[in-house]
Amino acid sequence: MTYIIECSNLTKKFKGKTALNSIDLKIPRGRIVGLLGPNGSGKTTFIKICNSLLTPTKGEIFIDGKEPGKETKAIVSYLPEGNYLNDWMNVRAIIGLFNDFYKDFDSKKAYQLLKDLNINPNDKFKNMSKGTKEKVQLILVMSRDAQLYLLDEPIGGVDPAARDYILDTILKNYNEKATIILSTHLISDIERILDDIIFLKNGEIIMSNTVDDIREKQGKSVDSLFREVFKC
Amino acid sequence: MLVKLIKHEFKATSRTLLSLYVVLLAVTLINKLINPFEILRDSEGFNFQILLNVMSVIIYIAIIFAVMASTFVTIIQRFYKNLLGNEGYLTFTLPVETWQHIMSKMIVSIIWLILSIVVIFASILIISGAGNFIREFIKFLDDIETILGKGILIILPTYILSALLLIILTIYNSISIGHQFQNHKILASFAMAGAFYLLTQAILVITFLIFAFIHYGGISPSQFNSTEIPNGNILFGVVTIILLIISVGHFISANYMLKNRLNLE
Amino acid sequence: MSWDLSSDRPIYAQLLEQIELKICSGIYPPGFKMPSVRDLAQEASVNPNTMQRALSALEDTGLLYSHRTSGRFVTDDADLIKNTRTRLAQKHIKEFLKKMSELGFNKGEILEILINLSGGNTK
Repeated sequence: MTYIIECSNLTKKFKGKTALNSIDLKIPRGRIVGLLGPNGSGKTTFIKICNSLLTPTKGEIFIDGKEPGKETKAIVSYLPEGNYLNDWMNVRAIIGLFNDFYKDFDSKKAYQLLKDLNINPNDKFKNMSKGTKEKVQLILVMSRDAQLYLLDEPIGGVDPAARDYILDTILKNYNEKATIILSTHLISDIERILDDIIFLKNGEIIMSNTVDDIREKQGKSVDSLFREVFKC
Repeated sequence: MLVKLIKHEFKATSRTLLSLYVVLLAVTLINKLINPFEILRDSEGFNFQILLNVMSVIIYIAIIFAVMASTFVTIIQRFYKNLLGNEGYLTFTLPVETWQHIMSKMIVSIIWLILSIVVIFASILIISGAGNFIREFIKFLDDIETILGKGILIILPTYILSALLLIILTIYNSISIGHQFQNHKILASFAMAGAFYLLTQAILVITFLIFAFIHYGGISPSQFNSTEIPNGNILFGVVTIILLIISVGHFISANYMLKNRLNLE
Repeated sequence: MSWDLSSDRPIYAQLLEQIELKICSGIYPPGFKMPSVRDLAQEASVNPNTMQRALSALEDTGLLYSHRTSGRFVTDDADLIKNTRTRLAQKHIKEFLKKMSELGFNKGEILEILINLSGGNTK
């Protein structure tokens, strides 16, 4: 069986600065992986390359054995860090768009999640708070039955209560054969849902292991290990 | 997928453009009722009534310009925002080929440009009185056929269509290339558009010179005094083909840039 | 009873202990059909793979068994549950005794405190 993500010597430079430096990585299916690192360590760059929003400077990457393109986009569900919703649309319109393009999108599920979170599908994005827009985007992403979820800072901007709901939503809605990669710097909140972690620093992988292995061998949580490794 | 993309393009662009076209037609009808053009023509001296009429004529002309300008602005904005702005994070992760994005935007833009021309013509038709205008227009078409030669009534619309296509694709390609620059992306896009414009003009001038030497044995002013341009239909045909070739070039280039050199930051 | 996970020990080991505890205390009685891995994982807010690992480990000990078609059940073997209870009790008492000796109590003093406390409670 092929890995869901496989990359070798993956390198990305911006204006002479190296954002990713020769990354070699194999991520199997059916895992929840935390992509951890301080700001500017290359997390977002890596996720964007997986989505072909950035073109690598060197090296190669395969999603489900294929180069990022139309076919991989059909099986990847991506939550970007920022907001991509335009002001004039309402939730219903964007659900229509997802339904039109993604075969694995379940609009019934999306409407149910909206109801759970008290979001009116007829509200325009123009009138929504930043946090509500983030929730809408997460609902859209998790209403797909994708093989790979790439979640860039899914809990960054929301309050702790919503954070719990979001983690629940992720656990409840993903297919167990799928892989979830989520980037964050809020490790303690998500540690218990992770299988594996990848520590990124200055565009390089400095550690990649399972959470239980770290706890067993180091006798400490990933969060405290992270604080040690990235101590300023 | 292309059909779905086109559907969503229409949804996204029709909000501003359709209402603008409706406004133009409404102002046209109001002008027709008040009829300031007639009153201006017939009046002598100055009074308040005339001031009002001058104003409504100016508003009418301004709206016609606004229709053209907004159509272009919408076309440019839609391409830039939807592909290279924040919305690009969604647009480029849809399971669709890059060329389909460009194609759908191009088709919808062409339709809007044609529609804006039709609406402006319709408006002028209403203002000037239908009978008058249609008679003039048919006469104009006859004249063109005499001047430029047979077949021109098919070649000319194709030529106009190719010119619109070229304008749209030049804009798309300029934006796509301009986005490669790490700073001043918008300025770079404008610079690219300017450069492409000059290049296109140069190609057309050279084509014209070559054409002139082949068919007229050179350029002498005497030939352009006549009321006919010999082989004008062939000239327009050749230019149309050249415009289409340049357009295809722009399409391929924009597609390459957005597919293989994309960097959404 | 909620799931209480500390942050410094492997999650699967903690899950295993807590399910064991729930079986011994009768929250999951003998013959009880266990909820699905996904539901349990969600209840504990943990990764389903980790929950799966804990459940498999419990199957190895015999406390749980799975039926190919109908799911996963708590064992009917009362002795096994009783042994597990005893083992857990012994473990807790050992820890308790260790702490007490750290505090400087000897066995007689500890017994005295225990009797007083339980007497006070049954009043």
